[in-house]
Amino acid sequence: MMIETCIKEHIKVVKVSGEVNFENYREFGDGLLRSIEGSHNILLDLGGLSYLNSMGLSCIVKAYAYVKKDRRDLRLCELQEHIKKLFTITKLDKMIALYEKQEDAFASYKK
Amino acid sequence: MDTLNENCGLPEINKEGKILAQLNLNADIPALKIFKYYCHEIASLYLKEPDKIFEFILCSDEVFVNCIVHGYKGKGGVVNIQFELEDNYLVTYIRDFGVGICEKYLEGIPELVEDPFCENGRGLFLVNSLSSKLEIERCQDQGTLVKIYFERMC
Repeated sequence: MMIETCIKEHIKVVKVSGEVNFENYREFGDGLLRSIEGSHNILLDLGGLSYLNSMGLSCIVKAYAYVKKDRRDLRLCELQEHIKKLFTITKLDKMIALYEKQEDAFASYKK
Repeated sequence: MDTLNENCGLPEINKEGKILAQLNLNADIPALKIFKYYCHEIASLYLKEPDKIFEFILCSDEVFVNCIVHGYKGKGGVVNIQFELEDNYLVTYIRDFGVGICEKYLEGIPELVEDPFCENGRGLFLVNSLSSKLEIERCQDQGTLVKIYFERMC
């Protein structure tokens, strides 16, 4: 599992790739919280994420709550279909905005 | 039955019979990896579609992790696994000998907690949603038996 961050058009893009599972969910959670520090709105690009368990979902929820408390926003993009289904089933897609493409998510931040 | 963590070798998948494989595993991460390997191999044979294979592995993973975290509270124990063909289902039996599942899950899988910011409570809900059927028994002697059903493609 890898987390990469960069700033693009004043948005912090956090790109996650690999798998999040029982073995590494704590590392993912800690890494995600470190990545979202600061003052930027967040775009979590999960295009490279191939496996996500319920603990990984919880880490994303925790990150979202942290950002919202800070009066910022966190949006998701590029989810593979089987990962997107997990957000739909758990109704997290009603809480956290999901976008098919990164450019769509960027456009949403500009509105 | 072999306990795989003692390096007795991996049992073969029995493609001819109704019981495909039986495993005795420790409730820990190395054993979880072995379990997921079997899940992948068996799902590839009987579920075929990549998304269904992912869902099967995830469901099995979630239940096994529950054995580790909730059944044995992280202190270790044994998990018995059986993969079986039953009518048009691929059924995974996962049995631990831990503290036994909370009573509320015996009456049915609860709906999602109302608080969307809640960090817990999604594992069994996911299993119940992704599988064809889920049965949970609190065992009389000790522990919990979970049966996960997935409709077979062949």
